[in-house]
Amino acid sequence: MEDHGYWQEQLSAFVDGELSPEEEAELREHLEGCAGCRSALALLRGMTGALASAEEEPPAALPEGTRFLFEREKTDRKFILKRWRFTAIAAVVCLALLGFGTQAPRLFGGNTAKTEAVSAPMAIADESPTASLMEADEAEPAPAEAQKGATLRASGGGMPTPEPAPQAPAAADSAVYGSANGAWSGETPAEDSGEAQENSPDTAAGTSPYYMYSTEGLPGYAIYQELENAGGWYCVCFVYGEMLPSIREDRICVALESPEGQERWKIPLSVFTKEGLREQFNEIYYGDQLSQEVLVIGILDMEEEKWLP
Amino acid sequence: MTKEEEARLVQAIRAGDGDAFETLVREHQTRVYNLALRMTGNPEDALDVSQETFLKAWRTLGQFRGDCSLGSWLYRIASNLSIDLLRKAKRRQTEKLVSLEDPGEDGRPLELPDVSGDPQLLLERAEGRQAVLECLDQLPREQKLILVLRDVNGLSYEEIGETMNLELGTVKSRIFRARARLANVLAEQGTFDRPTASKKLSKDRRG
Repeated sequence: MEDHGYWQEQLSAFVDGELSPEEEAELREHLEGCAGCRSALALLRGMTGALASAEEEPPAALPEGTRFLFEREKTDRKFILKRWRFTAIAAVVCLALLGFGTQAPRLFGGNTAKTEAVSAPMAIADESPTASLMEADEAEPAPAEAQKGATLRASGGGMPTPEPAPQAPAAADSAVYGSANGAWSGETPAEDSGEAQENSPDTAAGTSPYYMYSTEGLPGYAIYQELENAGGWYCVCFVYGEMLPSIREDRICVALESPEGQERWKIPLSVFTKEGLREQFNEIYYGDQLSQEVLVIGILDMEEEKWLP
Repeated sequence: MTKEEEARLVQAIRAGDGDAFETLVREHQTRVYNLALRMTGNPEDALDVSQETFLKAWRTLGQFRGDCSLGSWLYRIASNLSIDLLRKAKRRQTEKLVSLEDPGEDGRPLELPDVSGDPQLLLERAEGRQAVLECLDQLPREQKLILVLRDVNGLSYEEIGETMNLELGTVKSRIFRARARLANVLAEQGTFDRPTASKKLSKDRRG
C-alpha cells in the first residue's frame, strides 16, 4: 500500500468536503482497493459526527446579559468622561492655588513616532519640557487656538484665581452634553490666557493639528475652549487596564465628540499615535470630515478611574 | 450575512447601537458559546467567555478591518479568551496530566489507529459521543481548538485559517493530526475495538 499518512490526511479533508474534485476522484479510486482506508474513513466520520452533534443551545442569559453589560459599559464611559472633565478642571485650579511653578506643557508636535507617543506621558513629565517644545517649534506654526490652550496650561504659577472652580465643571459639561456654546467665554480663561502669553510665550508648542497631552496638570477648560473655537472634532483617549508604557493596543479607547456638544463616538483605537488617530478617523469614520482637529487630550486609567502618571 | 450587511452592522455598533450589538450577539452566539463550552469544559465559564468575547469585540471594533469575516474575528477573540482562562485555571490548580507535544513530533506515528468493524455506529450513539468529548479534553489546547472550530462549529478550512491565522495547508494537516491524536486516545480508552491491541484493551478496559 502507498503512503498511509498521505491518504489518511486526504481522508480527513475529504470528510470535511475540502478536497478538490481531482483529489477526490483520486481518493475514491484508492478507497476501492484499500480496506484499511475504508475503515479509517468510517472512524473519521464517526468522530466528526459525534462532535458535530455535540453542539448545544446557548442560554438565554448570553444575549440578554451581554446586552445589559454593553449598555452599562456605555453608560460608565459617559460617566467617566464627565468625571474626567471635572477632575481635570479641579486639578488645574488646585495647581494654581498651590502656586506651583510653571508646569511643563505636556504636549508635543505631530511628528512623534509611535514609541515616543506611547511613553510620552511618563517621559515628558521627567524630562525638560524644552526639548519637546523646541522640536515642536521647528515645525509649522501652531494654530491660534492651540497656542491659547498651551499658554493656558503653562500659567499655573501665576495669577489664576479660584473662580473657575464653581463655574468650570458646569461649563465643561454643558460644552459637551448641552448646547451652551458660550459657556467658555468666562473671564478667567481670558485672564489666564493673557497672563500666560506674557510670561511664557515659548510654550505655545502646537505644531500640527494633532496634540497629545499628558494628564498631569491638564487644563481641561482651555482645551475645550480651544476646541470650540476651532469648530472641529476632537477626541479623548482613555487607556484602561495596563499602564503605560506597556500599553496594549486593545486597551485604548477613544471618545470622539463634536464641538456642538454631542457625544458622537466611542471607538477603540489600535494605534496609539497621532498619525494612527488621524489615519483611522479619516479613513474609517469621517472621510474628509475630520480635517484637522484631532486631539488626544487625556489618558485615563479606566479601571482605576484615575490619571495615569 | 453579506459583507455589506456586516459593514453596516459594524458601523451601527460603533455608534453605540444596542440593537445592532444584540443582532451581532444572536448571530454568532451559538458558535461562540459552543467554542467556549468545549474549550473551558463548563457552562459557567462558557457564558463568561462568550459575554466577554462580544464585549471585547465591541471595545476593539476599531481594529476590525474587514479583511476577515466578522465571525472569524469573533472566534479568534473567543479562542484567545478561552485559552487565557485555561491558563489561569492551570495556574490555580494542577491540571490533569496532558501531554502537550504533538504526535508526529515526538516520533510516534502520525496515523489513525487500525480499527475493525464499524466504529461509526458506536460513535454515533450517545455514549460514543460522550466518549469523544471526554477524549477531546485530553488533547492539547490547540488541537482541541481546531477540532472544535471544525467539527463542533462547522467552520470551513478557510474560516479556521482566518481564525487561527494559519495557511490552508497547515489547517488541513493540523486537523488531521488532531484527529489522529483523538482517535488514538479513543482507542486507548477502548471506545472501539482495535484488533491489534485487543489483548491489552481487554485487560484494562473499564466498565
